[in-house]
Amino acid sequence: MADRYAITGQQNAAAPADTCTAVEAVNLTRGELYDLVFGSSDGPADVALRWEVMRFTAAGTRTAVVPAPLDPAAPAAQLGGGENHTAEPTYTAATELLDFGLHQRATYRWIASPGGEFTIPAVAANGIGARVSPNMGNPLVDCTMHYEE
Amino acid sequence: MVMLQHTVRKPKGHVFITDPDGGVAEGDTLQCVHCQMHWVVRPGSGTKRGWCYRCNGPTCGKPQCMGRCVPFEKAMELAERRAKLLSDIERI
Repeated sequence: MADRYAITGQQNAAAPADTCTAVEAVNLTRGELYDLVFGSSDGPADVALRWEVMRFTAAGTRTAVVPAPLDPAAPAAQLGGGENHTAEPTYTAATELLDFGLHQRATYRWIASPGGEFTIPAVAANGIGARVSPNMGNPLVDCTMHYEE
Repeated sequence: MVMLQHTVRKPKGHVFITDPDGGVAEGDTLQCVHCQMHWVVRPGSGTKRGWCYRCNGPTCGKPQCMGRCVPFEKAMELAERRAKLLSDIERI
C-alpha cells in the first residue's frame, strides 16, 4: 500500500508569478498528487489570483519542507517538498495541470478520483509546483498538497 | 437540469470553491489522457477540447496533446528512461 504525505507552503505572492508549494522527486520514486487546497491567510482583500499547477525539471531556490506522513507509522518520505521560492523552478512550458482564477477571499480544493492523480516521474529534481500570480499587492497565499508514493 | 451542469459520467476529479460567505460551488473535472491536466466541465464555455480515439479519453486542447497520441504513462516512462540514460552517460 502506498504511503501518503502532506506538504504545506506559503508565499508572499508577487507579479508576475511566484511558486508557493512544490513537491519533487529526489530518490527515484514516483509520486501521485491527489488532493490540493489553495487559499490565503492574509487579511481579506479584493485581489484576483491566478493559480497554475505545472511540471518542472529543476527545483529552484526554496525553503525545504519535510513531507508529513498522514499515517504516523509510515516511513520517512522519499520525495521532497519546498515552499516560499526565491528562485523559480524551471517549469516546462504548456504543462499546466490545473489553471484557474481565484478571489483572495475564496478557497479552492481539488481532489482526484481514483486514477485521476497527477503523476510525478521518478526523475531527480522533477516535480510539480503551484505558482500564483496576483493582479496587485503581495498577498500571503497558502497551498497544501497531499500525495502518495 | 441546472444541478447537473457541471457533472460528467466518469469524473477524474472534483473541485470545491468556498466563497467568503461560506457558499460552496462544486464541479466535476475531466482529465487529459495525454498530459493529465484537469479542467472543470463548463458546457457552452467555448473552450475547444478533444478526444483521443486510441486512448479512448478526452484531451485538454493543447496543441501537443491534440497533435499526436502519447499517453501520459508513456511520457513518464520516456522521461525516466532519458534521465537514466543521461546519468549513465555522466558515469562513463
